[in-house]
Amino acid sequence: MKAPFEQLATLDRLIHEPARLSLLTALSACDSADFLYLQSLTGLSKGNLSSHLSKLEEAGLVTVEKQFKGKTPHTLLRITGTGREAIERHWEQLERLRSRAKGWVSEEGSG
Amino acid sequence: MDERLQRIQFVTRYYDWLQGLRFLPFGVLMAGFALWLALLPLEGGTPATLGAIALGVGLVATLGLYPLVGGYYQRRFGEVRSSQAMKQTRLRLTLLFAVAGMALAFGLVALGLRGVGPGFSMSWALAISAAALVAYWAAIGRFVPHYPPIAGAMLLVALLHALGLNPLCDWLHVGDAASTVRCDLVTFHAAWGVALMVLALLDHRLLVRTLSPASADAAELGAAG
Repeated sequence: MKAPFEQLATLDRLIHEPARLSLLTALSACDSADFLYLQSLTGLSKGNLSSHLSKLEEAGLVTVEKQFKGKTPHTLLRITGTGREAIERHWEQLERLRSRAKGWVSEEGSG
Repeated sequence: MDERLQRIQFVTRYYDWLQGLRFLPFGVLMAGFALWLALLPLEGGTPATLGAIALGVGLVATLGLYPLVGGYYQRRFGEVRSSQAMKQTRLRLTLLFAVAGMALAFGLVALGLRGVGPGFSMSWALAISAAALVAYWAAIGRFVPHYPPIAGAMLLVALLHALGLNPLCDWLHVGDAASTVRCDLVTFHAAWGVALMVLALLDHRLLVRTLSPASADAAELGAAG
């Protein structure tokens, strides 16, 4: 079995970053969400949120659709099939780590 | 998945249904109707036509407010489009509760026609309403904590009503059959009105706590720092 920190290092850092994990979790629970919703959810500034979304878009995990509502730009974000698989895999990985971490704690306690 | 991510998933999935201020007018309407019924003079009986018209007009007004308040949420917190699977789940839930509500109404009318006492029917109506609230809470994932206590309070009102300990009936000086029916109606509408108002406000609070509007300057400074 890998050591605790080696297992942590296997997590995909692109997804595991808290803001991006929140974004992918939200987008996996709907068809699409707009920029304002994701900004409200994460509390990030426009610049920071754009930067995170660009990274996810470059990795092919989300798609960005720019529209206009009247004269106001409206950006819609949608998770891709790859993104959905990646986030589900990530949650499973986190669950496995969590259950193993309980084992580490009890081993330390008994030792 | 940790609690924060579960909350994000839940709020995104049920974004429309958690927009509590959209449902608040329905609660106000029902509580207002109960108050109006309670304040009617005893001698005059219940002007059924006037009551039905008032309730109908109020219902149209609250239905008109529904999309307007939805616009407020969209401007403040943004827009979420539900997935096809979620739309189907929500449609199934809506149909299930609508059919159950109609069955309850017909069942109560049937009980009334068979001569069962009005107080008995109303206690059952409130008990089934409490069960419906718990069923709804379970159906949407048991995430929000405030549904079971409100269902419990409704069940308590049903129990008090069945045991003849309903304080509203004492206040309305229930004696004859007409005033008993009036007390039933006041109790049912007041219980649902208050329950809807409390649920609406707590749902709204959950949404506001999860979706705090971004403080752009602070976030930029934090990122720069």
